[in-house]
Amino acid sequence: MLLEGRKISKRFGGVQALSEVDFHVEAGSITALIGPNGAGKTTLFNIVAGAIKPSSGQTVFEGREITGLPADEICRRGIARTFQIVRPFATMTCLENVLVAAVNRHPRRPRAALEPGARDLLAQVGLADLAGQEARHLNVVQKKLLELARALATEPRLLLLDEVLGGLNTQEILQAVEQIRRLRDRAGITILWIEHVMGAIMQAADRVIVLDQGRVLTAAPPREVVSDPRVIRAYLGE
Amino acid sequence: MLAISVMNGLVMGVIYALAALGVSLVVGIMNVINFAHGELYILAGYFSFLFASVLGLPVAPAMALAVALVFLFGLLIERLLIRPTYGNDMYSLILTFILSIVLQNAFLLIFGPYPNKPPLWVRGASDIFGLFSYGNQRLAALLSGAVLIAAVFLLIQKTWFGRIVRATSQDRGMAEWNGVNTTRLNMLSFGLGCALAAAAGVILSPVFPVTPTAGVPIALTAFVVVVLGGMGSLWGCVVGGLLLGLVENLGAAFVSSGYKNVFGFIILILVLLIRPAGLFGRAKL
Repeated sequence: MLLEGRKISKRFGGVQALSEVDFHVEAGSITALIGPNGAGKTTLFNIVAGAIKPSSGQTVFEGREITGLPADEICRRGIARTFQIVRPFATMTCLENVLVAAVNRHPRRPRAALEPGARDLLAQVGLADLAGQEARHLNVVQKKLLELARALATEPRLLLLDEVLGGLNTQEILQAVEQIRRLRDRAGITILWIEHVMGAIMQAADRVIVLDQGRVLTAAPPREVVSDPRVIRAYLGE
Repeated sequence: MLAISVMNGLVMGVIYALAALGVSLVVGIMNVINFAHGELYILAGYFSFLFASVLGLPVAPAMALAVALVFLFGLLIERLLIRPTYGNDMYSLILTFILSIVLQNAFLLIFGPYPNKPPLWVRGASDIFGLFSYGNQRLAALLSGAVLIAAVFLLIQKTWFGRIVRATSQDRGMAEWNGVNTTRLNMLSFGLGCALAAAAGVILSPVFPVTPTAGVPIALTAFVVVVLGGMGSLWGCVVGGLLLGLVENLGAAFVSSGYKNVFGFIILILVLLIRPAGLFGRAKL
């Protein structure tokens, strides 16, 4: 088990965003996190990534507790994330964006030693030609790819993807799903993935965790989940 | 008259720019305004006076030591006064304001109200293009200020530290998710901001001696330059600093020296009327 959440609860004022959520992510899996809007998916991501602290409960990564650690420490432990709304460092070049992440992973390595690796990552996501381009000039798809390359430069063992497919067309979705699979198959990166595009989840995910109103409704392989009457009810109502 | 005013304006402009760069760096990264910026300028002037004139060190090591000590003092201020206040910008504002008053009174107690002056680096004057003769010390100040500004730009644009600084000033959260230890970065940048004030101090104090309260107008001018150039813009600091230095000196020469400080504020108001975010307001570090 790579990541485990134990009885995680989070309260924002009068709103109980998560209540006693137990979940786990197997090493080497692609695990999807789905649920209707407001189910608590992003809150759970933020807790795992160290953006907010849970009101109670624990997160355990590779057998060590990481609850409440600062975001940069969690990054160094091997968890990276991308955002639903992309956040590149706009006035820096693509290469510099990736290098910022790489240099924090290897603070003692000389800069010249990091650049080939950074270029390689850009090539992997198909941005090799844009290495010297400032990030603000990229289109949305390219920005998403850049964010992915930057996350990979932190050399994560667990990658949190937050709705990476939003705004992509069918062709681009196929490519992105293929890319995500390759990350797992070739680089051995475990993936926890919030997504609304069910077709992609059916194709790529090994396991799906369904959240509803701050609770885990079920966690099962995708085929079982889509035929589960409780899940259908959560999305469509009675 | 015109040529000399322009030269004086450039010298002051470079020093303003240097002092403003320190303010801008700290504002850009930490969103903290250091009200004791001017007192750190003065502190470096006193250190430099103490090491060179009293202890008899050569000028260059005395200045380097002064800047290094103020840098360390800056790290200490961040650790003790600023770090506990993250999340509430008002506290750091009040704390650094108190610090500035404490420092002013400490200077008064230790050094007295009299102006103190570290030794000149160079003596004599040079003939500028046969137009006028100009003090070598001021020329040296202009030159060293310009070199330091160039070094700051190189540091921010070309080095690792600079890339991390730019990334953090653009999106702090995202920088943290990419592994940037922002707590340590805050401490370093605050120290660096203080060191820039100190550098301005050691460069200018042989020309304009330090007194316990001489830091106040320097800090005020640095804040004006930062707003004039646009919050968080390094180019804004340089252009704003030079503009202000020139306007003040030309105004003093051709209108009246009594209004010297007024000209700066007139320029500030005019610029803000046309570009409310400052000259380079939208650009990031």
